[in-house]
Amino acid sequence: MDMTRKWTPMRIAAVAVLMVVVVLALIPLAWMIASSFKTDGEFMLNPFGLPKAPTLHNYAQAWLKGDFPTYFRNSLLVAALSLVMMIGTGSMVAYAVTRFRRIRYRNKLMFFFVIGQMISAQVILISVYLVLVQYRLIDNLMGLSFVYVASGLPFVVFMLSGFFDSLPFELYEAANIDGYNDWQIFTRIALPLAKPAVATAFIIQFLYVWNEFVLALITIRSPLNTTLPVGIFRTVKDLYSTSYVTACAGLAITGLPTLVVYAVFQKQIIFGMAAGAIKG
Amino acid sequence: MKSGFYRLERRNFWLFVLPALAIYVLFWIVPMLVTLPFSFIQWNGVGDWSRIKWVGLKNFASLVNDEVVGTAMKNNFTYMLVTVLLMPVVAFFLALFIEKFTVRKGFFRTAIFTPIVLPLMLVALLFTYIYNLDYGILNGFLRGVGLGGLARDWLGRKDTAFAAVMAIPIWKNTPFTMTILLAGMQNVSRELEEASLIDGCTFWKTVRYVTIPQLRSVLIVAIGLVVIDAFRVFDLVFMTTNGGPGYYTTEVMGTYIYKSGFADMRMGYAAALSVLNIAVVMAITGIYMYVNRRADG
Repeated sequence: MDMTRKWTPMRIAAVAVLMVVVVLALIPLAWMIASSFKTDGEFMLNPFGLPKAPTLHNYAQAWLKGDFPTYFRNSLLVAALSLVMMIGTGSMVAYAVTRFRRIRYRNKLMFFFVIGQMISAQVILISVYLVLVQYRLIDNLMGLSFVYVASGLPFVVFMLSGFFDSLPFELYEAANIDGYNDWQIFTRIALPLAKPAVATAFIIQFLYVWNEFVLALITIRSPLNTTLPVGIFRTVKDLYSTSYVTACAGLAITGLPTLVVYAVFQKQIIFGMAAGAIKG
Repeated sequence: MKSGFYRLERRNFWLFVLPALAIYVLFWIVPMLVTLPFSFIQWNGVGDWSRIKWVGLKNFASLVNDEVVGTAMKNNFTYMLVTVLLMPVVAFFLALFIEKFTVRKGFFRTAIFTPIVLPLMLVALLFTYIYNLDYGILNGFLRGVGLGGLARDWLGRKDTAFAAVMAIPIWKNTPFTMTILLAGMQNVSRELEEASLIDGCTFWKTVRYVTIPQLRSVLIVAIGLVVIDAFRVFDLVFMTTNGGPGYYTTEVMGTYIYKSGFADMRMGYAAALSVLNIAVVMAITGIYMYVNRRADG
């Protein structure tokens, strides 16, 4: 059904609606960025226009106000730790459940991993806290990373097993004849072929870990171990009472890495997230 | 011979699976499973598990008499009804408009998808700012178009606070539902749609009787995700109103569980609230799946 050949009134109306929605989707962000370049005085007089004399002063202020370098370092550490573990161990499971076809319970195991997607941190946050207390991993970036790995595994296993399943089985048999063992087939043949799928899983899980708030809020106690979302939340919440424009600059700093990742990888992000939802 | 190979294969299988399985069980499955036993205890969360006191069904008894639970549940259900009635419908039309009426589909899809990737923390704080009485862009817009009488402190008033909170996930998540439906529309048969148009059906009749039936399974998933989300909501309320203004006006189960556990230090009671929340989610999911299966048969 191709309705794009000519401009019917219906098409004009539909595109007009879409344009309005595009504006609605982007205007809060545009307003935040415009405000972040204004001075307090200019913002009071003219809260909605473009900044007349853009200043980076607010960014410097926001940066100094919170302990951004510490938050940044912690977030980077947690992201690196959890993504390496999540993608590494997750791809091994995905490979095993698609490769070892004579193992009869492999589908049950796959199902056991995928049901984890049904649970969300918000629903079990009390028990996550209680269990981490017993493991002595409260206020510990390693503990937080383990929870991220566990909560992200269902998506990674699901997504990568779908990919490994699509590889021709003869490939494995040929490699077997060439004398490769399972580990060599996995690291030298399956994983390199899976690069696009691994990249998509990596990007989507990076966004999850980088932006995660709830688990970081309940498991981390000391300012020294705070990650970006919680650290910036506390900083910006304080800034509201003193300076709106500085608060906006603080938010802009948080959003920037995410927006850059999105701008570069938008195709993988959109398709990966949609595919994960439909099949999961 | 075969059994020797099989044993080797089984060993390798478990070597591949074990690292992930250990982390997954210890940090995701165990927390889920201990929620129920923890709802029978009394503990302030300090020190290790040796300080735990077993109190049987006492937590559930106090839960029944707690009027905040009623308010929170009512808010969760309101949230579910509003989002379920609104988001899939809006998302469907947006997806349809992009799919059928635009040439540069990528531009619209990418622009409208943007709110999804933003951190919820950023969105929640930005909206408290948008709703601000004096400088917020919402009241500024209302005053600009001559509706200044409607301008108000949206998050600070009891009558508008919860609606203002609900508008945030609708803004942030409707594009996600739209993207799922848009992906589903790629599998709708173009030939059938063309045939329907050639046979003299109008555009809307074709959408109703040809496009939508083929989207059924995708619609079920998309709506299901919206339903489940309504009982997960926590961070959003925590970051905007934290249950206020006044006496638990915008409290939801998520924030009440958090407060009971980490502010009142009643871990057992918080676990009991979690059990109730999980039971409600499971019941609703079960009903939803049952109804859809019935409609299939």
